[in-house]
Amino acid sequence: MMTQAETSTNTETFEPTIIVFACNWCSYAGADLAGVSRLKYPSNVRIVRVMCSGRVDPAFVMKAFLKGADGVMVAGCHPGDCHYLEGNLRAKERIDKMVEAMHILGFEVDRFRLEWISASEGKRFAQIMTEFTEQIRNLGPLKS
Amino acid sequence: MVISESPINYEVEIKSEELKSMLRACYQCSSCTSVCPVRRYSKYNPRKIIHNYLFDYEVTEDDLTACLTCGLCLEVCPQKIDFPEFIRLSREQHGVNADLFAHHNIFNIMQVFMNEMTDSGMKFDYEGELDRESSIAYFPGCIDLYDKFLDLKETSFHQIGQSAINVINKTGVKPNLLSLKCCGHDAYWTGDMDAYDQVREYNTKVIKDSGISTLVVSCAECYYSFMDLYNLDGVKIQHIAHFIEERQEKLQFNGEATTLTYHDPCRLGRFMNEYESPRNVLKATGASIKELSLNKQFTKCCGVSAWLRCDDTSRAIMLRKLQEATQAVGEEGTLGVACSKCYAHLNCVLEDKKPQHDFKIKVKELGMIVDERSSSK
Repeated sequence: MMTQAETSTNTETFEPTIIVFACNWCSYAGADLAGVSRLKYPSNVRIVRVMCSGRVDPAFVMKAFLKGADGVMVAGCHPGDCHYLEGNLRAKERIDKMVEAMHILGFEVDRFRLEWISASEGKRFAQIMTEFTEQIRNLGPLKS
Repeated sequence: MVISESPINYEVEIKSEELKSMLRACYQCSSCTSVCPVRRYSKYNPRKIIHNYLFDYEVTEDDLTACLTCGLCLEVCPQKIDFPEFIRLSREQHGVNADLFAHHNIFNIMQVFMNEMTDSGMKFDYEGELDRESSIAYFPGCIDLYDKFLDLKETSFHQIGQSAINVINKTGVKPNLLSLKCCGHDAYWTGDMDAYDQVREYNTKVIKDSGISTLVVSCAECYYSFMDLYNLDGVKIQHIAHFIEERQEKLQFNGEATTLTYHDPCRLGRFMNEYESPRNVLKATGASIKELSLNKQFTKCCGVSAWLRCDDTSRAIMLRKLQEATQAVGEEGTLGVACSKCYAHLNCVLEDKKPQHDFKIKVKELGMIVDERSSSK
């Protein structure tokens, strides 16, 4: 069975698949706000809701790339705003180490981003998604 | 002490004739079970697994994954039944559940990631005199990645590679730091042959193309893989212990008296029969070696193999190892190991304090000990 990720990378004009791990309390609500405010952002973005950005294990990110994502983003609350007090700080610590590991493995880290988006930043959410999609589109498909 | 039983996930229903033929010579003497380090703290029973496999009784995933493949059973078996190889082949046939790997399976995912996503080997960042044209190459292994994913504050894995390079420099050699992928040992022993074949192909090509004559490695698992599993004609593979032993007259040891104990890694000891080189090197540094109560070919494993199942049983085995070492050299002593994995597992249990313990012994890698105790002439 072909996954959605695989079908979209095979089309002629390249449409990247982007996985966003968004935290339930800030970034997911931010995406919601972008939706109800009728802001436009690219449909390449697939959002995976997690309870906290601290839930995102480096293994999830690597697996997303392995299953065909062209770009991966982890989005959480701004530092200090975490619903669980310090989940996002732990996420940052863990993700920074993962980025270093990807450097060692020789992987383009441009395809990955960690962003802080709060529940009131619907506009910023749409803006970041547009920008990130454009960045991945310029980089081209991950596996040709 | 700790008895652990993990849930049974599947039953190995189809038993292959090929594997049965490996086991037919067994006459159920139970020597394997009596020495098995896993048996000490759980109900794991190699004899029973052989019996059940031969007579089509229940063999579970638990049976296949709990084995450390340390090879101690093979050492004592009167019929020389290769139980670790049997376990490896059955893992290859039936697969291993990804949930059973420690650290959220990150090391396996990274192995696949390395194969699928990148065309180059690992990039290392070491200080010291390096020479791309040198005929002697050094490969630190995947230790830099442990630093990133094992949350250990006081243990530096990067230091293993840095010490090895320092020691090689002290002997007057500028090594070529070879950018290879992971050696594939773990993929091989957990039966992931696709991943293993891919890295082997890549590494063989890079090693052949680089035109080196000697490859020095720090890790016992790399040494075993390159020597035994790969087919590298014309390239001499040396463990760092061999390299130092060969060139020890070029090093100036500070000769400070100290007492060490040494743990034989299963891949270097039982698999490759290298017992003397590491001991000779440690003795050359001026240290006197007090042996563990079980040493050389009867050394018990450090507790985890191929990142599979770091559970209560593994932790109990690790603590037992620290206890043995403490008995040999006392509370403030040092346990030398010649394998990055043993170094990782034993330091992890030392630092994590899970389960609670009060061992103060230090675990150091062989290259690190030599680097601390030597200077160039």
